[in-house]
Amino acid sequence: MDKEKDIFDHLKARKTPTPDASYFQSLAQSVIDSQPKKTGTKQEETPIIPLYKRPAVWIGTVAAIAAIFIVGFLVVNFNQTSVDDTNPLVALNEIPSTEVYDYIDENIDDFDTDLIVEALDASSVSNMTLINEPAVVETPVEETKSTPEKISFDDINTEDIINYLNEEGISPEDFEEDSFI
Amino acid sequence: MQFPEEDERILDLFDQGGSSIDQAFHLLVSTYGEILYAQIRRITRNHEQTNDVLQDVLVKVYQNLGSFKRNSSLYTWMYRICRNETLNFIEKENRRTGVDLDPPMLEVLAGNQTLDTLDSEKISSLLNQALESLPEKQALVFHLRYFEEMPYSEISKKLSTSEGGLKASFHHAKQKIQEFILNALNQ
Repeated sequence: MDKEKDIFDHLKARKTPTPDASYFQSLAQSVIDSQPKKTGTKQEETPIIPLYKRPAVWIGTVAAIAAIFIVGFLVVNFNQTSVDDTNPLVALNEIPSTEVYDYIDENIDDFDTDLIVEALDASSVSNMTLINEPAVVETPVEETKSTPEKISFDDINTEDIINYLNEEGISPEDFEEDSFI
Repeated sequence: MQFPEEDERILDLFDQGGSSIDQAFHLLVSTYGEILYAQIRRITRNHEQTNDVLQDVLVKVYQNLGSFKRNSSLYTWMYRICRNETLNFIEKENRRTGVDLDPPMLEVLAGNQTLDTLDSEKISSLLNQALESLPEKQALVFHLRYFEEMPYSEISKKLSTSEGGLKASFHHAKQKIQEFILNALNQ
């Protein structure tokens, strides 16, 4: 090191004042007193209890199993009721057919015909058979000639007839004479 | 190098637990308390503040002595804690006004043209800054050798380092401090 530049030759360290030994002893004691007691020895260590021996674990296990059963029961019941509630067709399947027939017989007059017609499509109507009655065998029916109802003009005045023809713009001359015979 | 005998005794007592822990801690403070105190006081330059910092340092030492790994000597480990705590304290405190301070840690002797223009306060402040910039081992050796005037043989026992290694550390520390101070003065 260059002597000219060795600044330490021109510096002097001052002695740092330090307290006596009793200060350090009381300081050490105050630090010890401020801290929770150390438990470093093996004799003082907290005993380790296996999990299966702890009552809290047993109680917790039993409670968990019970909770699983309860939840499972509730879920199963909820699913059943929800199907019945949400799908009326499924619920209707549960009703015996005889009970349905009896109900229809008793309340047939109250049914709204239009609603029934709307609900049924043409194909289902064509395939429909009467309940508790033998299927009707369709037999060709001879078309009967409908006899026209006799029209009587006896109650009509001649004057009314003439008025009618005038309103309709029909001239009596348009008629053939034969048709009045 | 062997682990320092004093450290071995302290740690053995601590490991026994119970009342031996207190005994171990008392032994630790009586062995290293004074050096740690002086290290802090050179920075704080006041007993009350030194007392506060040292108390914090010792609390940390007490709480963590059980997990000390013996990778270094106890003093090296405590020196590190002490250095960090002191710097934290200084940052937090930012030098309170109105507190009676010790005289600066360095006294300037006549005969050097560069240093003659400086007062002790300034050169001491620069030395502190230079020490903070040093590697931990060099700073530690410098403290023990320069300020505590501890013989190399004793430092060697305390730090579990060969005397040759300590001399090299001290030499490098002095060189770096000198460079730091001269650079600061030339700016």
